[in-house]
Amino acid sequence: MADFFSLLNKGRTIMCAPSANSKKKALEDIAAIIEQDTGLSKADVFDALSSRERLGTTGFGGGVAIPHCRMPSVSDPIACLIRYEQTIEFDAVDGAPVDLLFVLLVPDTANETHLALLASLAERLQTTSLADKLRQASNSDDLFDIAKSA
Amino acid sequence: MQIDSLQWLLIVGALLTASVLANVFARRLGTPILLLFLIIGIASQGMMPELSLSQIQFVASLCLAIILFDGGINTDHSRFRVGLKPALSLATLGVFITAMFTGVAASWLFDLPLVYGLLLGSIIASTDAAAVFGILGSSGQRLSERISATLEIESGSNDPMAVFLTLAVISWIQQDSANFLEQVQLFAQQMGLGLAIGWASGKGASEMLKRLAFSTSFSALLATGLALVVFSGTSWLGGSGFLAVYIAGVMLANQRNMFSVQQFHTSLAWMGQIALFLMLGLLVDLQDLWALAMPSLLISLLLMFVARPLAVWISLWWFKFSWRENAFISWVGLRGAVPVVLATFPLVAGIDYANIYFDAAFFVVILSLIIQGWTVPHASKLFKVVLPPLQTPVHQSEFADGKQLLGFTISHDWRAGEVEQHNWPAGVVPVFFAKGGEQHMAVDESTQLVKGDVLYLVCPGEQEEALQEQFTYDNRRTNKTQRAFFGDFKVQGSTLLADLGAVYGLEVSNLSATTVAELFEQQFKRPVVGDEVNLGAMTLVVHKIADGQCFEASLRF
Repeated sequence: MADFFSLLNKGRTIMCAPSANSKKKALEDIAAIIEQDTGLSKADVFDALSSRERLGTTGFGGGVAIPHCRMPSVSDPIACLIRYEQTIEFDAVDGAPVDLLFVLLVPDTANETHLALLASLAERLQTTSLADKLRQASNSDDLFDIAKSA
Repeated sequence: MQIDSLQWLLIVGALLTASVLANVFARRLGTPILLLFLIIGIASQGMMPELSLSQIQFVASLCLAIILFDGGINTDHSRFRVGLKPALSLATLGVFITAMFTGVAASWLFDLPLVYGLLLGSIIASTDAAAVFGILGSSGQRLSERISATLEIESGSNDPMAVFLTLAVISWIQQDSANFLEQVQLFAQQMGLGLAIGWASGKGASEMLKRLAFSTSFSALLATGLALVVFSGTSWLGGSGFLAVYIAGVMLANQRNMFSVQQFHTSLAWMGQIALFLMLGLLVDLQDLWALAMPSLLISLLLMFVARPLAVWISLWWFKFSWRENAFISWVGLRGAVPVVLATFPLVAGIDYANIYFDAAFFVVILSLIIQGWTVPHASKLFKVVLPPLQTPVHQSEFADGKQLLGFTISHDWRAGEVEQHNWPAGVVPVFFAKGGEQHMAVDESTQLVKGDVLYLVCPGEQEEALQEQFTYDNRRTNKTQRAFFGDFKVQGSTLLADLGAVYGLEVSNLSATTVAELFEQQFKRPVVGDEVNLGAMTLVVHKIADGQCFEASLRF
């Protein structure tokens, strides 16, 4: 089965400054990046991610958030990785501000895959120093290389 | 042996010191500390002058009163929500079943007439608050609230039933009030007066502490004085002093500014425990004990493995506890000082076989402490009733307005600005930090923390757990156990299952209009943190309770 990192491509692995210090703006940033790379509607992606966020936070802790949702309009899982140059407030479980966003969109049919992808990503973030390595990146290309070799 | 007052003080001081130091060994060996007190007492036999029966009863009553008061004063009122009814069922029906079952067995094992067997059954029927509070507290484990609340309230409130049964059987034996109706009256009087006086005096005492703003040292002493008055006064009026002093403590708990009063009484209660168990150790005659070893061993085992589980199972029938919860509650049927104190009643009353009761009760208590006390931390894991540990503060003190100052050890480096940007629970303010326990420095935007620093925060009382939880996720070790138990993502209790199903593709057809909170309420009636419901490929776990409802759950895949 594919893991999160094999689903990444250059267009969706971005290091940038956050457009504002808020969760809502972060979700908009994500939607814009995914729209540019895949052509999915920015509004749809934003709505889907926001509805998940309304149920409860995906702020994972340790400076990491894992926004995720199902999208009827995609046929294969889509991953997106953002590393912010400054931290933002994301209502994470440990209260720490967030600078790494691991985003996962899955098709409507991929129930088991969805959970398995999330579980294995959470497991790796928790048991390895992956997040710290990604924080060493100095630009988007760097970030992509580190993510791919993970 | 004649000793003067200096020698007395020396012996008492040395025993106290030895008992406190024994804590170090207890922690290292996982031995129940009460057992070590007992051993120190046995080892000191011959050093002390002999105590008269009335001296023994005086010390035992004093210690018990203090211990029960401390149990009450540390009762978090929110625990009544899940624990009160099951605990009361255990404290009445449960004690009765235990007494009858072990009583019948005892008359056979010790070859006593039935009524004398029932006397022994009554003497050993109640669980011990000191032992239960002590062992649950010192294990450092966080138990499911349904269980800890039930066990603590049960052990604090079941002694009056055992006292009543013991007195009732004694008067039955003495034939001076064989009338069943009078017994019921006596019971009602013990319970009724105990409850009423405890409630009223607790109310009065909390008003008194509020109005007369004493310094904390005096508040604590005032509470001690009142506790003793309540205990003795209620007993003198014919009520249960034990119940009254416990209830008075409960009424005082959850008042503002009680933190230092609680700390003081916890120290006093430990002093009581030490005195009580040292005294028991001093009193026991090992040779007599040995003579009764076989039947005493059998009655102990019967109590642990048959009578208590049976009583728990029947008493909790209506409350729909899981078998794991029932099994663990059965195992924490720890016996303590009360049986030994009750065993002095037949001695004083001059009942036949009086010596048997004392030795048998002693045996039951020791075995319960060794076998059950020692294994409680393992049993909780075996029956899966432990919650993952929360990060505990290394410093805790209370301000006059009920807010607290908490200090947490930092487990990894924090960059400059992280303390300021942190999303602390509402009302929490980081104020200063300490490096190497020495210099204290104010927190500002340039604050950098390194592993081992202690960060001090002002925290409103109701946010204590939320803050502990943040530090639990912040620490690598506790983060791991926390996530293994609760999973990685959270959902609000108000989430509709239909919406949850839409995000994760779950089949929730007939439950779609139900919220997560309602789902837990349907399943558990009174849910507690750690309760689980399976939903297809994922498990929902209660993570936070507010107003008796699941406020937040987490998802485990």
